[in-house]
Amino acid sequence: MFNKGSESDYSGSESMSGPSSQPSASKGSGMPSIISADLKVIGDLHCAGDIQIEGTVEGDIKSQTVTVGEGAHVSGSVYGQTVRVSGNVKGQIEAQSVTLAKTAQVSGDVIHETLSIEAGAQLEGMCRRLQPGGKKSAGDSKGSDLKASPQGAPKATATIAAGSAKAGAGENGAEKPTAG
Amino acid sequence: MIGDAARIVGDLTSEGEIEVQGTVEGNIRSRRVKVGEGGQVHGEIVAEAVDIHGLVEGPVVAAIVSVARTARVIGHITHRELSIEPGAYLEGRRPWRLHPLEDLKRP
Repeated sequence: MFNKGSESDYSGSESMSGPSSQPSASKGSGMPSIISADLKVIGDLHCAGDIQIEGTVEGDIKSQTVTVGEGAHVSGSVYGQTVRVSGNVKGQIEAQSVTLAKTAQVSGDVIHETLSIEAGAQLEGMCRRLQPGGKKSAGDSKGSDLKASPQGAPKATATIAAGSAKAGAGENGAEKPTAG
Repeated sequence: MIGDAARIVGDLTSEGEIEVQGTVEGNIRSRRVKVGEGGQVHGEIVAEAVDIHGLVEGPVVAAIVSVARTARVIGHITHRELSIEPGAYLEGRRPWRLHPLEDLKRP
């Protein structure tokens, strides 16, 4: 009487798992949430576990782990413990551990404890280091120099080698002239 | 896929499938929508096919609607084909339309 056979008209549809790539290993209790490539969300996302964005999000994201996939677009702030960006983010990123992959395009500030930027990643905005206690570092004012640069300035292309680079606000201020 | 730990406040639009195991406070437009047993949708669902196992508070407009025994739907269900499992909780009218989605576009 009640079965999924009644939906067989839509045989052309994909399986429920969708075309998106394999989700990252789940640290939370539940399964990871995936915003797949054809999905657009206008609004805020809150997640106690892992979230993977392959589509478009216009709004803020708060989650334990956030993965922004290569084709993904996020317009809004991203907060998390661990944030990995391979796609496009327009907005602030605040997380203990931030990783920008080589395909990442970020316009906005990055607030982090640990920051890793692969060569090729595009970052427009300032990097501020969050002290392990949660306080922003004292060198904030130096970091803001980056933002003061004129809008027409060429995009800064990060040249920090792949791997884990711990960048403080002070270091970033010194790096800026050589970047881009 | 909206996992059970996730909460979305806002609207979702997709050309494919959306599976909600968490909470969505907003409207969903997609080809297919599945609301899992723990899933909650507070808003309108517009799709070709909707499969409800959880809570939906808001109108549902779809050609094919399946309501499972664990489902709770508070809102009108506009459909062409509707199946309801015994045990499902439904509140609201269930008007039949030959072309529910087309009717929605030109009210």
